[in-house]
Amino acid sequence: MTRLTDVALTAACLTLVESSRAESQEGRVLEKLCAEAATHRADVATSQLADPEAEFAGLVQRWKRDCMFESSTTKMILQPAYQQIIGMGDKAVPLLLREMEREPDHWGWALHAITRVDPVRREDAGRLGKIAEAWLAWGRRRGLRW
Amino acid sequence: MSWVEARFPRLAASGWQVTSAAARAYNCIAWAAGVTDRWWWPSPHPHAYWPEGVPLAESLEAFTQAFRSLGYAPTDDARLEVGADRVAIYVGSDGVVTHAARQLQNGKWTSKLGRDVDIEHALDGLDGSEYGRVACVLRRVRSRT
Repeated sequence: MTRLTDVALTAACLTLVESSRAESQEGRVLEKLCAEAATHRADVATSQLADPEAEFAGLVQRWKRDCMFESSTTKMILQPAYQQIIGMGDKAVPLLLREMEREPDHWGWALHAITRVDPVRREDAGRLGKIAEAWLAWGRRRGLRW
Repeated sequence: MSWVEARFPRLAASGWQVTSAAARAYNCIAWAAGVTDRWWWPSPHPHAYWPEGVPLAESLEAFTQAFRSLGYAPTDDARLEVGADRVAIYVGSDGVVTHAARQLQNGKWTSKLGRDVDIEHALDGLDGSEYGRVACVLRRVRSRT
């Protein structure tokens, strides 16, 4: 779960520690700050792995905000947060079903990408309510809980 | 400034109002076509709806063809005309279609803003970085039924 920004931050910390090693007081402070930052990043990564619901909720919020005025389904499913939800794999399936049950939206594409099945009838294409109903019925048939 | 004006800054000067609450069931293309129970967009994905026989492309030509299937044809005149319906298609700087609006009987235009609200606005009120500009206006004789 290490992000590029974390890698950059770590590299910046190491550079600062190296350059300020001569000034022992500043070097120690920087080493301490870097250690704290590393611990924080590890905590965040661990919590995200341990709490996919929190990760999912954050991604849904980001996707909704970024796609608020978007009509293109192409752009909506290529939006990074949506792609990250697909990247969560099977963990995201019950969370997507719960979100769909709460408010039908464009989650059928993600479910299709993750599960490789499609319970939606061709005549219901474009009908988000019907698409949600089909996926929720599929989840119940599979014995999933959400 | 509202969240809508923040994304569409020309609205503030030209005037606009929200006409219905946010809805996920339909988008701007469906709304311009007079449909409120489907999301219209050209995509090969089986969950997507697009009029049969119209190319699955995000081009002005494909969207024009979609509205031709409803009886519309291109026109150079965006003025209000008794007995006629008009639809405007917007494209971004990359030439990809971003939005469509439909003319109201008071001469203003109505738009569904993505997954958000419906608004009434001036035709150029949505010009800008979000939807680009109006690239084409289409007209059809209004049905008497």
